[in-house]
Amino acid sequence: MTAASSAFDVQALGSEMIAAARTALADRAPALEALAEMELRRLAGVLAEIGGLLAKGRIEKKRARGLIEIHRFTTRSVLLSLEGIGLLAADQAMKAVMRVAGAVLNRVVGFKVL
Amino acid sequence: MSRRANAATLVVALLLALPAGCMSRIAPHDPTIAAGLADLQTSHARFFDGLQLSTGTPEGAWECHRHWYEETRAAIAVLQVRAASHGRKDDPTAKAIDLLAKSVDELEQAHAEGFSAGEIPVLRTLFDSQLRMLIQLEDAKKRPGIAEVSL
Repeated sequence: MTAASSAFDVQALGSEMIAAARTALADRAPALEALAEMELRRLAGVLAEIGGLLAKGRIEKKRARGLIEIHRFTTRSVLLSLEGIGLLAADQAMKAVMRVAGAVLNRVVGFKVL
Repeated sequence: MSRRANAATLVVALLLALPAGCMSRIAPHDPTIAAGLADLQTSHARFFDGLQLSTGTPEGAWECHRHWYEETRAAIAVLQVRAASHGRKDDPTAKAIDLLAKSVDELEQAHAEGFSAGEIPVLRTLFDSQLRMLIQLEDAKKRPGIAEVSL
């Protein structure tokens, strides 16, 4: 163990910060993944339906293009919402990491920095 | 490296990291936007229910729904102004609301040309996805986690 690491255990702090981030994300990442998968499967199904309507002659090409345009807006919108939910999870992880780091830092400097 | 130097390094690192946490791209939860989205979801459901029954009849024509489009566009415009008021550039909520407005424009154009019955479930699913996900995002903002997101 070096003098530096005995005075300030960077390894241990790093491990604590990683553990805090992991805990903060533990439940959220699988839920977000499942939500994304379900929504994207639904959108894939809709695209197949539009193709089916066109193939069966129930809609014309021009209308199919219009429906695909709305589909495109919807896909972008769904991805933006998923991105937002992901960013919220990242914000939570960030706060958890800062709490851990702040506690260690305050102890080391002897006053409240964070 | 001394204990003091280590602490100083950590302070600099944390101070550099802090703005990233504080200046999130995500606007805070807005009850007005949440309520507006819920109203739009109800309104869209009722609109597509009606269209499912009336497409191909005179009651299903665009002229009979012109007011719905006007009201919907006005309601979305209110949400756009509200979302912009949070001042977050690239906010996913604001961008998704803009896409909803564009989708309504496309929907109205298609309606004016005339719908076939087979298109209604497709359109319903698309608008339902947009609104449901926007509501989920707004809901996630007021909760500590997203584990409760209903699938």
